Amino acid sequence: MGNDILYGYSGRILRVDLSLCTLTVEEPPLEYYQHYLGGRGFIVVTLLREVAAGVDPLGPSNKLIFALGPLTGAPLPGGGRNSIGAKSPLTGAFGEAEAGGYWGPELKKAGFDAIIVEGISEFPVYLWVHEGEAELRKATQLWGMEVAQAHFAIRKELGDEKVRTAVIGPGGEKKIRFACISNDITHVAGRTGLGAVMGSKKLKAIAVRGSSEIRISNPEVLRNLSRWLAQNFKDKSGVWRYGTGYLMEGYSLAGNLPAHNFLDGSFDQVEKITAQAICEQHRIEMYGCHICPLRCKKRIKIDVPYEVDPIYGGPEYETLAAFGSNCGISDPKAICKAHEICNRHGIDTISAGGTISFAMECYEKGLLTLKDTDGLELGFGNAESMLKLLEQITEKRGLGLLLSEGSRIAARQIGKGAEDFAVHVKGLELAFHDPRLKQGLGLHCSVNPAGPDHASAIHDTVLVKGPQFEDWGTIDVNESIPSTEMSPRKARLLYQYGLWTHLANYLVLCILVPYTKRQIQEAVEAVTGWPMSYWRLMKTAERGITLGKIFNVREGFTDADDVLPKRIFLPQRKGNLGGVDPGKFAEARKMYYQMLGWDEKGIPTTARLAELDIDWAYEYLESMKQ
Amino acid sequence: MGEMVVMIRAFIPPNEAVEGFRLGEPFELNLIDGTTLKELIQRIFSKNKGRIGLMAINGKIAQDHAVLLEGDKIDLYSLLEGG
Repeated sequence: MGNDILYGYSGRILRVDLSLCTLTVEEPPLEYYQHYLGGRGFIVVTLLREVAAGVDPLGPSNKLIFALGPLTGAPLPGGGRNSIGAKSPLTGAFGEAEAGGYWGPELKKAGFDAIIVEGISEFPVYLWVHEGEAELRKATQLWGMEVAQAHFAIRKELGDEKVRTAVIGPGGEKKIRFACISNDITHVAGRTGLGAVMGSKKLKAIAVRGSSEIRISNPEVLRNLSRWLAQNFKDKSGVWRYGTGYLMEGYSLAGNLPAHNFLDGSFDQVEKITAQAICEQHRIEMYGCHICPLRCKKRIKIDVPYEVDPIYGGPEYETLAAFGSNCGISDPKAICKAHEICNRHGIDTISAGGTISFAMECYEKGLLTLKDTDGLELGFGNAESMLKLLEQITEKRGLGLLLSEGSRIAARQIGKGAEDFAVHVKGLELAFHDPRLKQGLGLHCSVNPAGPDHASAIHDTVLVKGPQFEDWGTIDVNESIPSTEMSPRKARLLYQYGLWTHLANYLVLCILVPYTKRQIQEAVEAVTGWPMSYWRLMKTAERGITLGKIFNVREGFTDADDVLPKRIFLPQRKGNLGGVDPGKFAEARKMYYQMLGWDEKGIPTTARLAELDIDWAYEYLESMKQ
Repeated sequence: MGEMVVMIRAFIPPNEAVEGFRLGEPFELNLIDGTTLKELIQRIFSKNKGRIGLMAINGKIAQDHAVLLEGDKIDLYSLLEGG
């Protein structure tokens, strides 16, 4: 393929075999880019084709893929992200996570659209990608370093303060099942344990630096979009003032704020742990990602009683809920410290918080005792114990050793009914939006191949406005449906609108930048020069969802895994919302399967594979049947 | 009719510049006695009322027919998105 006809991409994918110490460059055909677009699309195709069923996620046969999208690095806010995927060590299913910052744009300027990492190195290494070249470098001197230490050590070694890094901390090295990968210290690909995969390969970091121009088919359109955003973002979204978490009091009122391990949907001390409270007391600055005016990330500093290092940023909404309301904790300083510990060691705040709140409930119900906790009083609301237990998880010590496996494995080990308190789907802890209020989100969480990923979910409370709001009618959101409804028409809303929300994973576009659908379509056309329609964009998302499902089916996952935690079928203890109706859930899930072209067991049909032009994937379903 | 003072905290922007208004921060407003929540929204936030996700008075969910009282704390939340 001649690169002179490809806009928005570099046209090159780097393959790194750590066992053989080889680096090769591949140039996929144009059709590959047009068919899968990027991000989750590139990842799922690679995993399905190259990772055999049943491999150990932490063994040499798993592959770790870093992938960009067409908008990555374009002169357009929202294009600062990159996607990472592998078979997840936390779920055993298709795993994927995304992070913002500057690493993705830098990789594209360095001349690559993706990096496929395979094998296992004999000793710790890091990958240095620069100006179209790549090399593996010894990292024994970095092994054991915390995230920020490693980041600065790499910059110093390479003699360039503008190098961008994707780093694992000690959490990834220790293969904690919910370890993450951190871009430039604070932009974190948190979910599904990809840091553990990187650690298993003894790959400490990928450092990138590049200066090549990303060619854009029609730059004027992007300039106009950026200008529009600069003029309008303050009216369109509130994240620029406090970052995420500024609506927590509203969440609590509505029953959307998980508290006490999802027993409750509201928290009576919520005002102490909101983004506003954190900003007013501890913020030193806001910062952001690649050319984005929203600057939605807060940096906080605390001196006493806990020293919280501002180098590790500050907590987003999910973290505020994870270590705050869901652990029954109202001390903002303790939450900020927990956030710092997670970022320092490189572990996911959502899974860490979800696993600790699970342990707290086990303790309150007598399933864990002081003997199990080495004397920690682990009841809800105990901030000191929460922090000590988190440290134990990072050190894989005491009860922390068991909890470092995540809530699913821990619950099985504890037994005595503990599985009823483990709030996860397929082993991935739920993000902090209550499916009893957002029931379409719940349906998404149950079926989504990557597990309960809140970023690609629909949020029913937004969609209640129906077709008259913004441009939702253009993708056939044609009626207002209550957020607490679970029904065939909710399944249709998830199918139609959900394809759009999933699309961000393939474009690798930030969902917090308030573009309209029309503007996103225009942006993709302007970058690539390809004619785009909503149909074409949404079909790309559907293609990826179905391929992810095939990956999971091949791994032995069935419709019995496309469920919600037991707790979600019960009423909230406080918050006044009833549980999801099991019968209505089953009916809606069946409808959703069928809308996706899957059979009643959730297995994609040959007809839908043909319709999506991914007939090639059928062989993987056939091999599963044999 | 007399006047009263209420405290408003809104996560949606007003129709036009309102003195003292900052997104998500409380500001005082003088209203005529007997003003309802609906009338308040019509007066200041009518262009963005479709973006209101939840309304509360003194920390409790309120409907638009609620009559406001002196000293009320009114919260107007935008649609409850993710993140």
